[in-house]
Amino acid sequence: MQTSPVTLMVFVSYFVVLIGISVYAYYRRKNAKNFSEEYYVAGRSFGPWIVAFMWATSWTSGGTFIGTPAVYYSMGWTALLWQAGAGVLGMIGMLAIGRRISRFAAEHNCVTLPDLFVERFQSRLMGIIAAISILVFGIAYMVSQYIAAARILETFIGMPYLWAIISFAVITGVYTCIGGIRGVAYNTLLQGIVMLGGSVIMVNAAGGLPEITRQLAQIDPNLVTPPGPKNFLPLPTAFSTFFILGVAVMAQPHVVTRIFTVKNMMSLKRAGALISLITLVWFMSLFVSALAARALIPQIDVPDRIFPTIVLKYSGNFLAGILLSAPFAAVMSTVSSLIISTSGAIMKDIYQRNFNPNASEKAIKTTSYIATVAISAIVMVLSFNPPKFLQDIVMFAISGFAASFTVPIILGFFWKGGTPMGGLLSMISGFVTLLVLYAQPNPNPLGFNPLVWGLVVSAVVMVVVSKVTKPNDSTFMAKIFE
Amino acid sequence: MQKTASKQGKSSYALSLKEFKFAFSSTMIYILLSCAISYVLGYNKPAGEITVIWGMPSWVLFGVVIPWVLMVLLTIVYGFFIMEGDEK
Repeated sequence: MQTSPVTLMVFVSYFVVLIGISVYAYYRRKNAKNFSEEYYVAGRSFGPWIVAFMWATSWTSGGTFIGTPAVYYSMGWTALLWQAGAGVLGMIGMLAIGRRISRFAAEHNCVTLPDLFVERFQSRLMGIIAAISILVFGIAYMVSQYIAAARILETFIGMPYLWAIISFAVITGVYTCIGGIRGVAYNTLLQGIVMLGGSVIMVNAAGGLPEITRQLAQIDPNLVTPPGPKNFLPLPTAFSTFFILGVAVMAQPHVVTRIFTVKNMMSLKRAGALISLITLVWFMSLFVSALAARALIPQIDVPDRIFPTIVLKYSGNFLAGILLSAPFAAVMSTVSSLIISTSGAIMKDIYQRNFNPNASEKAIKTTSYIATVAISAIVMVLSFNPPKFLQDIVMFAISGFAASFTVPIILGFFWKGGTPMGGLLSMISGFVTLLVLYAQPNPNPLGFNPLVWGLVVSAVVMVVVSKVTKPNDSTFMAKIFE
Repeated sequence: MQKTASKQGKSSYALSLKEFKFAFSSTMIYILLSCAISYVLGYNKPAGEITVIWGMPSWVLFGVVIPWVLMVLLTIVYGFFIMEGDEK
């Protein structure tokens, strides 16, 4: 596929702007008093718009523009039911837990998700296990993002896959290191607007809905009827997917920590409302674009390439350059959030808390940078041999986070009965249930996804174990539940 | 930091618990409704018998699009107008 010079120039200048923003954020940070507070949570200073866009672009990922349109394209109207979990993002991801989590985090100086568990359950072990889980699933997640980015570079610029991975790793690593969370935030705001604009333009290019639906029914009647082609989404799977692509958001370490950056309750409430609106517009417009693509191009060899293909084919040169950056925006914002979360897991939750509690500011700074670079390098190497199904890795990683952390968050912060042992075992049992089920030939007993089973097991373990083990100190509990 | 977060003098924990309950139950209702409506209007029918409204299959309109839009409206109304307490 031939990409015009104008498209390439727009695309490249976009990256120059991104790096510039990171440098600006670096200078803001240089003068900060507390490095960790600033690097990881930007001094808890963000208003509603920036939080909403950061949150939404951390959640939407390379999958949103590469794997997801491939699902829409291949499965037709049923894929909208698959996606409908997104309807609850603002409600469950922000409004449900926002006040409790942001306030607790501020009062106990938490900057990472494991910090929350360590402070709530007074268990350092829980912090370590949480950090390990974040490393394992976070790295899997990032691998999927690197591959998505490389696929775009491959399709658009014709860059060889290996080089695409390396250049992407270098750009993202550098920009996260320089900018920290503030850089990620400023960039994300810009990227979010680009994504929004890009999707809206695609809908315009798509043509009328009745005509599209008519064409789809002609290609294959299953494209308009559930469960979709090849029995894509039986009802129990549909039900499970609401949890993976909706409810699970409340337990994603790189998304939850966004709540820590909120300035005040006013910003938090507004951000929750904005998130639900932004994601509705994004997903609906992407969906309609992908359906239109199916009507226009009934056959494609690699469905993962459908978004790049329609952009290059159906929009002008200048527009294509901007639209090209949309998936990149999604990938980079997710990867840099994840790099911050995973390096935080190594740095704060494992190294500082257990080996060197009195580390100097300078030592913290150096180890944070080393952890950030090391993780980028590991992910880069793991991405050299791409696995086949991009969206599957994303769903696996999201489910892994959700199975480990959802119940400890809900029952730890909204139920007085949770004990340290209950929290620890519920986290481990959710995580183990998921891994065991994924290793089975039939990972979906009764048609329900491993995540649903993981959540059930984790909740039961939390309640039962908490009933029979020693609670936290009663003065401490009275204080945090007053 | 202020202990009382709302006009009625509720503690921050009491308020957050109330918000959690509301958000969690509305989420569950949304999921069940969406699955139930899609089942009745879509899963239950053979491929040829789907009616189309405004260019989309009726099961998608009533089972997915309308519930999703209503959920977004509820989130906006709840976030902007109903949730109490603006403390830091």
